[in-house]
Amino acid sequence: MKVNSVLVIDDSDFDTYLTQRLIQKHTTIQKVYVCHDGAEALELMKAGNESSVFEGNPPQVIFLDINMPKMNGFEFLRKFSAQKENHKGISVYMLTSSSLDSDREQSLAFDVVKGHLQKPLSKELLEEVLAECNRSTGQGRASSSKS
Amino acid sequence: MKLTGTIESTLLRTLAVLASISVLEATIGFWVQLRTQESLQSYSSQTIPELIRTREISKTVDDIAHSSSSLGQIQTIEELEQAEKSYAAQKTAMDKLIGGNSPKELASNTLLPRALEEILDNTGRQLQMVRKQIELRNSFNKGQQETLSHLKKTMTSLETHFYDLSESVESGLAEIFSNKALSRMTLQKVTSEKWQQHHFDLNQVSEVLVQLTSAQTNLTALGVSESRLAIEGLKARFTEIIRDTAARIPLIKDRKPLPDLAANIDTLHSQSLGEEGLFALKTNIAQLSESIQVASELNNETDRKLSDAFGTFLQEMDKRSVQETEASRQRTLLGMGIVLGLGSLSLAIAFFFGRNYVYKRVILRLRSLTRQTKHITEGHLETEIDVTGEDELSELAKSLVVFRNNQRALNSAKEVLVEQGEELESKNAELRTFAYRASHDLKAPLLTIVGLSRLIREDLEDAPGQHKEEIDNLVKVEKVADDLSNLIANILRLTTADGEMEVERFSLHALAAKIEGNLQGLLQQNHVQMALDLPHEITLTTERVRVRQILENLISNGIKYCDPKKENRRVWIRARQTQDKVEIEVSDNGVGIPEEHQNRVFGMFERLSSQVQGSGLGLYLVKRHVERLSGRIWFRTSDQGTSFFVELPRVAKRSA
Repeated sequence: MKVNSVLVIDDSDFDTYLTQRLIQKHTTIQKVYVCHDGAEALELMKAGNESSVFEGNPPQVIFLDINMPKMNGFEFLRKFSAQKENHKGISVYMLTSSSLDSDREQSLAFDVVKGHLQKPLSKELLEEVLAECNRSTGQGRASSSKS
Repeated sequence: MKLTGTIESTLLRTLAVLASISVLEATIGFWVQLRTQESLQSYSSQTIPELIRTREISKTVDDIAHSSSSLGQIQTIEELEQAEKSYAAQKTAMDKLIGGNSPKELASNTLLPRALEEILDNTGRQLQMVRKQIELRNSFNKGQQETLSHLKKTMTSLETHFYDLSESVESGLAEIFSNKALSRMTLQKVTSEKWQQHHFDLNQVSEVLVQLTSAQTNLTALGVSESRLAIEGLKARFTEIIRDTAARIPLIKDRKPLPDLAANIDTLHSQSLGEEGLFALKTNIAQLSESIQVASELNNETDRKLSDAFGTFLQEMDKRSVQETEASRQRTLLGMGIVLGLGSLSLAIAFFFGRNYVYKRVILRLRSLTRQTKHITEGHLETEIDVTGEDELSELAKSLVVFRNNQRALNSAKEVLVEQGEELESKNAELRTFAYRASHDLKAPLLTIVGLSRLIREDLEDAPGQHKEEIDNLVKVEKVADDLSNLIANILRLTTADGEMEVERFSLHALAAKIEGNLQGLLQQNHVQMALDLPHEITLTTERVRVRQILENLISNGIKYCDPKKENRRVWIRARQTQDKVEIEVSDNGVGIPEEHQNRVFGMFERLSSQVQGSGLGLYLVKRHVERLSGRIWFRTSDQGTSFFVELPRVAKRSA
C-alpha cells in the first residue's frame, strides 16, 4: 500500500512542523493534515467520511500524540475505533515523548495501532513506518517499533 | 379488710343521705319561691290602697322570704335555733298585721292571708326539715367519730399484736442465726477438703489465662515497637539522603547549561526522594499491619481458649456445687440431728443458707464472669468486669481486665494505622501523578529540541563540506539533550519503579540474552565482546522488571567504562545458585574504579568519568532495586577491571 496522505495529531506546533518537514524532505507523500487534539481529528475524519474534504486522498497513516488538551490520544483511539467506517485500512502510529511501558501497552491494545514510536521522529523511523505500510495491506500489525 | 369495709359502707351511706337531703332542699326552696311569687302577684293585682297598706305586711313577708331562702345555709343547731326564734317573731308580727290592723279589708280578700299562711307554714316545715337535717348530720358525725375511735382501737391492738409478733420473730430469727452459724461451721469443716480441690483447679485455669494474656501482650508490644524503630530509622535515613542531595544539587546546576531545566530537575528530584521515603514508610506499615494481623490471630485463639476454659470450668463448677450442696445438705442434716439436735425448721434454714452461700460465692460470680468474657470476645470492649474479692475468681477477672485493655489498645492502634496508611496512599498517588506530569513536561520539549537540531543538521549536511562547525555544535546540542532526557527518564523510573511489581518466574539466561540483544548498539559502538556464562536451569521467581534494570545498568556500565587502550574488550556474566539464593557476577576488563571514588559508587548523581555518558543515577537505581528484592550488592575493582556481585533470593519473599 503506497502512502499518499498522512494525518498528524499533536498539540505541539514544533512537533507537527518537524513531522511535516521530515515527510516533505524524505518521502513522496503529497498531503499532510494537522490536528491539535483528538476532538478536532475526529471531526475531520467524520467530515471526510461524509464529504470530499480529502479530495479522494484520505490519510492512510495517522501519527498520534498521547498527552493533548481537550481529548488525549487514548480517548481519541477509543472513539475512533468504535466507528466501523474508520477502519478502512488506516494505520495509527503513536508518536509520543512517553517512555512508560504502561502507555505503550495501553496504546498497542488497540487493533488500529500498528506501532508505538518515541519522539523525536527521525528520517529512519519515518522510512521504517512507510516500509511497513508498503509491505502490509494495512490489516496486520507489523513488528511494532523501536524506542 | 373487714375494717375498711365497714368504713367504706358507712361513708357510702352518709354520702347517700347527704345527697338526698340536698335534693330535698332544692325542691322545697324552688316550690316555696314559686308559690310566694304567685301569691305576691295575685296580691299585687289588688287595689292600690290595699297595696299601700299592706306595704308593711309585704316587708314582713319579704323578711320571711329572705330568712326562708337563707334556711339552706343553716349548719349548726345554734343557727337553727336563731332561725326558729326569728320565725316565731315573724309569725307573731304577721298574725298581728293580718288579725289587728285591717281585718276587714284583708278578710275581703282571702288570697293574701292564705298566701301568708302558706309562706309561714312552708317556712315552718322548712325549719323542721332543716332541724331534721342538722340532727342527721350531727348523728352522722357522731357515728363517724365512733368509727374512728373504733379504728384507732383496732390499730392499737394491731400494733400491739405486731409488736408481739415481731418480738417473737426476732427471737426466732436470733435462734435461726445462731443455728445458721453452727451449720456453716459444720459445713465448712465438712467441705474444706473439697474446696481445696476447687482452689487447685481455679489456680490452674488462672495460670493458663495469665500465660496466654502475657503472650498476647508481648506480641502486641513487639509489633508496635518494631515498627516504631523502623520508622525512626527511616526518618534518620530521610534526613541523611536529603542532606546529601541538597549538597549535590548546586553541582548539577553548574554542570548543566540549562538552569530552568536544572530547577525542574531539582523539584522532581526532591519529589522522588519524598516518595521513596513514603514508600519505605508504607512498606513498614504493611509489615506492622502484618504483625498486628498475627497478633490478632493469636488473640482470637486466646479468646477461644479463654472461653473454652471458662465453659469447662463453669460446667465442672456447676456439677461440683450441686454435689457439694447435696453432700453438705446431707451432712448438715446428719450433723444437726446428732450433734445439735435442732428442730426441722432450723435444719431447713441451715440448708437454705448453705446453698445460698455456695450459690452467691461461686456460681453467680462465675456466671457473670463468663458472660463478661463472652461479651469481650464478641468485641464489646466497653464491658465492665467485676474484680471484687481476693480469691481465684477475682484473679481470673483481673486477667480478663488485662486482656480487655490490651484488646482496646490494639484496636485503637489499628485504627491509627489504617488512617495513616490511607493518608500515605493518597499522598503517594498524588506524588506519582506529579512525577509523571513533571517528567513528561520536561521531556517533551527536550525531544523536540533533539528533533529540530537533527533536522537542521540534515539540512546543513545537504551542502557537503560547508557548515562543519555548525554541524559539530548541533551534535553537541543533541548529546546534551540526550543526556538530560536520559536523566529525566531515570528519575521517572525512580519515582514510578517503587510501586508493586509483578512477580514472575523466569530464566536468568533468557533475560540476560534479551538484554544483550538490546545493548547491541552500545556493544558495537564500543567494540566490546559480551559473554554469557550462565547455566540455563537458573530461574528466579521475583520482580522481573527490577532484575532486568539491575542487569541492564551493570552491563551497560561495564561496556561504557571499557578500556580503550585494550584490544580485547570484554564483558561477561556468570551466575551460580545455592538452595535459596542466586549470585550473579557482571565483570569487565575495563578501566576500573579509582580508589578515591570507590565509596560513592552507589551514590546519587555520581559519575566517575566525564568521558562517559550517563545520568549518574544508574547504580543508585541498581542499589535500590537490590534492596527492594532483599538482596546484597558488592564489587571488586582494580585497574584490570571491575566485578559487581549481586545476591538475590531465588523466590521473592512476598510470593513465598
